[in-house]
Amino acid sequence: MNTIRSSPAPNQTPGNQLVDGTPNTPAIVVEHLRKAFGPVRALNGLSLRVRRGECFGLIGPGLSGKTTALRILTTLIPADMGATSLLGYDLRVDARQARRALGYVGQEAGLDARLSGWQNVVLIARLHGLGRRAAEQGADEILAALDSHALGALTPSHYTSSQRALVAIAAALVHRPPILLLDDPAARLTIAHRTLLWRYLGRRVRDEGTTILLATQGLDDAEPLCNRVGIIDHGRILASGDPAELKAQVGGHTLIVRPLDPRSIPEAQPILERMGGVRAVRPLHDRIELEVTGAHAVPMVLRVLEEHELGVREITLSRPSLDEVFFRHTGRKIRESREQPASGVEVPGHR
Amino acid sequence: MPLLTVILCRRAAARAFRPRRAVTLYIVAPCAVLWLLCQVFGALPRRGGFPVATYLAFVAPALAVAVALPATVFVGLTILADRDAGLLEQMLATPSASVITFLAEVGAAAAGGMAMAMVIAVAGQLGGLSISGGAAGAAAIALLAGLLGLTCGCLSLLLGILAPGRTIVRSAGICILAVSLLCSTFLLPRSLLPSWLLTLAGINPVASAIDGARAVCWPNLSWAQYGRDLLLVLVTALLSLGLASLAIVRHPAAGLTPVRQ
Repeated sequence: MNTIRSSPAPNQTPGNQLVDGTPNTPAIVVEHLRKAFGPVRALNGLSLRVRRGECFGLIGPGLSGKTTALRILTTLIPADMGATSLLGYDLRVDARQARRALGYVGQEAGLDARLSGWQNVVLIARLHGLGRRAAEQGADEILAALDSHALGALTPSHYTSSQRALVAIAAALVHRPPILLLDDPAARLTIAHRTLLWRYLGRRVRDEGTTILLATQGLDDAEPLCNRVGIIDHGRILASGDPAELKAQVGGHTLIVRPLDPRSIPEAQPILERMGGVRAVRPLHDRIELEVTGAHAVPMVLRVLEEHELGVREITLSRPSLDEVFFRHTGRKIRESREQPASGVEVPGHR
Repeated sequence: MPLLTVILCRRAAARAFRPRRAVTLYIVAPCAVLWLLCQVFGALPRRGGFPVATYLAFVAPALAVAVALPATVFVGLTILADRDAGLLEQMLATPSASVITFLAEVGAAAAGGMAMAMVIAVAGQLGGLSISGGAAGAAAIALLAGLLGLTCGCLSLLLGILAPGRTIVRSAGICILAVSLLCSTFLLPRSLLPSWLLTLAGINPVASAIDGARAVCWPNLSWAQYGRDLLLVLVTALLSLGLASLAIVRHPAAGLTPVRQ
């Protein structure tokens, strides 16, 4: 295990990967993190590493431990056990230095109702140590970049919830932090705002090497932005990797064939089972679901069914989703988990 | 850090000293309370047991230091609003020291207390009160009022952090306020209080602040008495400041936004 140093120095041996100043220092290191709220274990040995300039999606249902992990990383709550570091700064020793590197967007918008949007952004910028002019210039720039300049003049009482979230995100980004922790921002954003934000964050990752840790329940939210994702459940990472790799682990593509006559399904089943490139056949009352190795199976299936004079009304090819990845590792769907949290206990700071 | 405190003080001041609220809270209300107390209890000194001739001379110094207390409930309510809006969490996630997130708020409470003390002092003098300590005496009373405002601001902040809702903060704040005023020499002199109430007044910092204000206001001027009372109030203020700063940093449920499921 690597040592996490309290005071990073620029010239360390290459063997120590957690020292600030070396390009291969991970931006975020979490090792064997444990946190309990009374009898409920929020984090149960969570470990993850996020490289610099990487966007990592922490995907899991409610009460899986995402928010607790993010709160520990922002130093808002202490961990019971385990080690965490940001840019090589050990949070137990150098919490203040670590916070300098952070931009954080919590579950609430985090705006002062009596200040205008612009003033709110300037306030957070000043608290991050920016001078007055830099803070004001930064607020102008970030609000313009997020197409929210007009919102800057209004107080939050005039905003929609999506606009509130967007201005709060602007406040978290204003000091150009090297690490950005986002706690399910997409849940509050409209599709238009989400698209705008994802595009902007993509530019920040590409141009400035910003590291993003995005906690989300929405699998579709993570996929366009994140180049690596981790499936979290019961406070542990169950699987992590490139979204495409994870989906590949689940299996091939799913082909849904709806015949013109549903009564022909029993006849079609053995024909399809004998085909190359078809891994599994599941006959249902009005359709057949095939697990196939790839998109090349579509014309083959159509040709075989045509040869046997079995008409097809509709054929749909779907790639495996991260939902299926979650199902593979937990045995349940993420949406079911959202509706019925495993523990059923509401815990402060635990999601 | 001083610069940041100035920024937040400006924010706190903008919230606390809005013109209409400031005129009502800091000028009209204290004067009205002073007038009302003199009307209700004005005849009491003639019955004996009072160390001064008029009720105005008795109550004005006490009111000058205690008048800041009701306004300090706003500190708790403000911090509660910040907590529920997620702003406190956002501020605590910055590298700034956590103490600055509330120092400005309690600072505004202290400043408000000092302003109101001066208003009462002026109103009292217009009504015929003479402060034996002169301008220095008035400033000394304002200092006591400021420290008491700071103390109660910190306690209100603690309440705001730990309480689950606005109603509890408001009602608990009013209860504590009423008890601390009634268990002191605010309305009646020591000679007219029952012994158990005297014991409570002995450990009540509000009573000490009131005694200190009277020591520099009444004819038998005593700076030594004022110094002792000031020291006690100062220690209480520092203790509550320490408590507030501890509460806002470490308690997992304190100062952090409750999670919606």
